[in-house]
Amino acid sequence: MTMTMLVVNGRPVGTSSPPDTPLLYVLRNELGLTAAKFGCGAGRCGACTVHVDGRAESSCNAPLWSVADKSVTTLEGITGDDGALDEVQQAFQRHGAIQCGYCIPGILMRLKALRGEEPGAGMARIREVLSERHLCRCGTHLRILAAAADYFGGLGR
Amino acid sequence: MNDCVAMPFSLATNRRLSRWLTVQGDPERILVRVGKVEIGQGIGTALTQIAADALGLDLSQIRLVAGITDESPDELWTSASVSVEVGGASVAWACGEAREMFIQAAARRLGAEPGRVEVSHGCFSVEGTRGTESYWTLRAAVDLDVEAPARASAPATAERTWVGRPVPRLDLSAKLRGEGFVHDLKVPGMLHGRVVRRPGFRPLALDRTALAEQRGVMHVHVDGDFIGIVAADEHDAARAQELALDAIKWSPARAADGASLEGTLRAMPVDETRQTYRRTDTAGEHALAAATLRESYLRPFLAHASVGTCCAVAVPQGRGMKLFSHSQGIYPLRQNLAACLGLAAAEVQVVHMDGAGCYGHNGADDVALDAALLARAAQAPVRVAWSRREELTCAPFGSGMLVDIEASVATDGSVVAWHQQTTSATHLARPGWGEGVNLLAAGELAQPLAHAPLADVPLMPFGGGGERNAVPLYEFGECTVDYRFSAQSTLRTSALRSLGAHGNVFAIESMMDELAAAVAMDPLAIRLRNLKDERSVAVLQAVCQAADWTANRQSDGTRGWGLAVAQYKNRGAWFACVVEVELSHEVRVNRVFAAVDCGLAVNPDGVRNQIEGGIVQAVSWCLKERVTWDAEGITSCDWERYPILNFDETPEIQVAILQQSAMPPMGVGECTMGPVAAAVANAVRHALGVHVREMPITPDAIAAAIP
Repeated sequence: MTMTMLVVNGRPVGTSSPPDTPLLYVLRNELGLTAAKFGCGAGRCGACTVHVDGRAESSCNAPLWSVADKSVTTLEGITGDDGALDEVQQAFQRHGAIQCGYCIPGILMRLKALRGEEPGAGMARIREVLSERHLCRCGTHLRILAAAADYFGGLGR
Repeated sequence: MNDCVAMPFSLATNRRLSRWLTVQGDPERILVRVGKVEIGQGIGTALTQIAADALGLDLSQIRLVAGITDESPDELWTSASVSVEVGGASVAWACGEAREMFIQAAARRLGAEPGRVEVSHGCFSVEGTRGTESYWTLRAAVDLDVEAPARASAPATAERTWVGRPVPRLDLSAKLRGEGFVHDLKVPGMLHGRVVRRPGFRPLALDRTALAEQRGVMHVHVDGDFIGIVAADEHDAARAQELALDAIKWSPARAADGASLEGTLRAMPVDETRQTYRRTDTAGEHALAAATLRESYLRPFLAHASVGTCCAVAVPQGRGMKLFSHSQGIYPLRQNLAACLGLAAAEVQVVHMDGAGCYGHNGADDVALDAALLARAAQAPVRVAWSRREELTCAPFGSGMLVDIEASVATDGSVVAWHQQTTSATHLARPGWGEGVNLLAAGELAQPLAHAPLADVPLMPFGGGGERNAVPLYEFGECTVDYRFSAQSTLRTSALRSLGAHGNVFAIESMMDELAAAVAMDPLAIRLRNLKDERSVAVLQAVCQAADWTANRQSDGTRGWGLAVAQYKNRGAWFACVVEVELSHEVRVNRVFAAVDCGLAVNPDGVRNQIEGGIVQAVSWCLKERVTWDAEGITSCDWERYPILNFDETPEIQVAILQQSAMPPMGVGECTMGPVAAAVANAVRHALGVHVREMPITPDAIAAAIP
């Protein structure tokens, strides 16, 4: 039985799941980290987005072998040890940017990674990134974009 | 008793007050139970606001529990935009009744007239005296296990502290942590199940041994055409499902239908024709007609297309079964599940947990039966989550619709004659709608349970299905509306946000613009000429003012402006919008101005959120969406082939809420769908002079519509 080693939310983890198991199932079912959601299994809707070595990646179609020895961060990993919401979550809170909330964890992780990589990203860039990788069916787009603008330093829409 | 007012429906059918609320001791709070469940619309927050005002409490003193069979009141379904109107009114009444009982008890303890007892933050006091009582000190003195009595008027609310305020969603923090979904539930010993099915096809030959030998597969459960897999590992279950789909030979269960949407709908056998509306013109104004137009409008079959897939967890409990489900109707689901499992209803418990937004009757109920069947077979708790393909092919669709209209207009814009015929399959086939079992797997079993006969929603008292908003709001000289109902649709159909209102309002409000053009009138002017309903006029004028609507504005050939108005169900919320489109290699909605009158907006921020979402989803339907199929089955089975609106396609939106504090509240989840669709079509017409009468309005559709 092969063991795959990785780091999840700063903690070393070993798993004996088959190497073709999507990372999402390992996170949700083995490690109990359920914030990332299954939406399409094809990396299109973005509900399963987590950070792999700091970059936002979909976890529904990332086989376990592809993240061996890498560092994975989930939404649970960005909240404070005292449970305090991260800045990106706080921005969404200020804007009441949820309806059903299913797509939100992935979008939060995407925006956090984007700000790390491109702190000066403008609205056009934010829209582009969300368009390529995320879907929202409730139509919460405007509030999500307003919260994103706020999180990126009060950009106008 | 004479001179009694009618109780709200949910209370009348669940009269025992203890069903609605319980005063709890530690911690001190009041448990309020409701049957209307959270589906992303924020109803939990609005109902908590209503209960808080009715009881004289803070929001934090209330714990709302929604949707547990045998505990919460049976409010049938969370649907039809009546959760605030009916569910909210029931909560207000039950809580108001309870408050009066506690005031009586407080008055006795405090030695004062009940009229002098005031309630604040859950404490009862009398001005000028020092003693206080509370819901908690009086808990033993008041018996809520009584029926709400008939009354001459609804219990009065002391003060409006919470209702009417934009309170942030109470579930905001949990949702921002990604918590609280049924998908996330894990119970001890839980296994993962998947079902192998292909809509429109039957499995011919199954190599059961090969399937059982797939990695991790613990059980293969076959019952007639129902093929289920159970594994300890979710990926093993999903992998075996994919492999089995490919390995199984399938035979078509129904003829493929490659015709156009119009061809499909015109060929659909009509089982019943109803006269929805008749108003004959005694004055014979027909002679005045300056133009008569005959047009057909089409809306495609549409998918609910939730971002999350349907999911349920079934836990065997002795003979019985406990289900965790995001169904919109836990009691009707329980009845159907019990029938399938050969159990009494009391042996099945259904507990609601949040799912992804559903926008109507999607596969939430179906997946609950899938999980129950597999849990029984495995004799263990089983979680089933549908795949993206199942989500887009196995769940019911919103029915395609065909609306034929012949209308005559006089030179002054008066519509002197209007003859309309709407054709559709059913817009309601939820579990509990009719005698039968309306769950997908029930029809696949070796001994199938019969589906209820397909019958659409009647106009009275439920507001119609295909007939929803079929009757124009306008006062025309002569007006007839007929409904041609088919119980034999190619595709499985049921409730999708706004039901038939989407197709009907699209057609009616498109035709109004075509009539305006025929007599060279402005779209706003022709509406005002024919509209008598004051609140319709008010939303129309409000939105035109906000959008700076100018009569007979010229288009530059790339940008166009369109407007539309409707009152949802002809008796719900009023909604009007002005839309700006821009046409290039794509059709783009740049801006949407909206005005809504929903009576008292219990939570204005919640109303705004619902209206914004309803507009975005309506633009998505109108520009991009249609279910497609061929001989191989439903082909719109993933996000590439069933695209929805992207973040870079979202319009700017401005919403004006015409707050009517003295009027009863009404739901706003569905009122946007029809008007937005028509306004987009009208804006395209304004930009290009081309009438696109079939959705989705794509560049190809526009090209095809150019004469």
